Amino acid sequence: MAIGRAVILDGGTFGSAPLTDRATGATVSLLERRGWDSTVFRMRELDIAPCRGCFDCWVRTPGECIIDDPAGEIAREFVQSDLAVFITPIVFGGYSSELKKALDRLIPLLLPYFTFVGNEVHHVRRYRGYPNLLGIGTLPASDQEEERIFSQLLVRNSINMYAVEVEGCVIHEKDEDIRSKIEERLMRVID
Amino acid sequence: MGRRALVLIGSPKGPDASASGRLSRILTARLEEGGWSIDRLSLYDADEGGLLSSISESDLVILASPLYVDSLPAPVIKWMELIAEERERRPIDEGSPRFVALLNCGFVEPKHNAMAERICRRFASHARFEWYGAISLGCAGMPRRRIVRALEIAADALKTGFPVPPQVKRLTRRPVVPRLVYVIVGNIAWRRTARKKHSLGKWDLLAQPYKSE
Repeated sequence: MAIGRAVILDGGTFGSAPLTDRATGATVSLLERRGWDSTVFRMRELDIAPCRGCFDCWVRTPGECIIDDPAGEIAREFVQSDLAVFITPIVFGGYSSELKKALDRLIPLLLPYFTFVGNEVHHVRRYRGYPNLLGIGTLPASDQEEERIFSQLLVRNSINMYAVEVEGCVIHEKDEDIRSKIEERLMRVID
Repeated sequence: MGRRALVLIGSPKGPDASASGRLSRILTARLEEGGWSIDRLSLYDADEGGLLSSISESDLVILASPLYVDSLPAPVIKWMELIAEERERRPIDEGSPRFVALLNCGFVEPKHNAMAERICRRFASHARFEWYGAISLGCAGMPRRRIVRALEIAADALKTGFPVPPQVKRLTRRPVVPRLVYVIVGNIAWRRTARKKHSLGKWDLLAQPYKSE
């Protein structure tokens, strides 16, 4: 029996694929070595419609989007996992449109209601538990501002998605040992 | 010759039915009074050639968008990727339109837009736009008097060639309704919508269709 369950959302674009594919491969293999099961969704191969902003997932079919496409399966896998891994080229500091198309469709996992979390208003959780979050961003070379935005965006996501632990890791094209880099951050969210 | 502004609508609800569209109209009404011509394009049904040439012909580009999961909606990011890639290839001496982000979120505090603002700023740099600032609104862009005033001040600055002034931030950073009121009224409104439109009770809204067996 697996020790844990991970969902990996690979938001690599065709241009960034060499690096994001390596990151995905390394993450799957590191998780496997520790007895975890992983499900990988390669976003660029999936036809996922954009969120329509209709809020039917909150007031008409509570907890489920009305659009029938792979985003429903991703949402199910997400909330049933212990760890979610976002793999993406860093685009202006944020996520690629490929990764974001899935994240926009995760809002049925929350309730429409508002509550105070810390000193801010957020949506109320729908489920008891949510996965920890690991973000792996790729960049051709170091860019401090974009890397800062990326890590802060992950923290913001972790608040909205009720992740208990969150870690970020940035990989550059010239990095030779991306496996160790990922392993260091991965250990912090699976131990 | 008159100046041109291009408004890119980042809401799937389009220019007429969205808060992004309504807020952008308050902003552009003031520009129109100053002799500017305004074009509006929805990023959900724009075509690549038309969008890129509209940008090239504009003095000011305004992205009016809702906040989705701490950032911009996926289709907006898709266009940003394409615009930046296309403009990075162009000769460096080609004109740089000014770029303003007008963001609204469904939370009471506008500060939820902070990440999207910074992403827009980086995009402007990649796409060789001149960054002219962001206007960040909470409460789903509820156009209270203070917000309308802020948009008018921003428009007055933009039409005379200045970036969004700090006064706009001062006017918009505080929630336009008390936070507790927003939470209570908002929660009642969700329940009422579900009951009236879909005959669902308050317990129905708590469904957990993806709960592990």
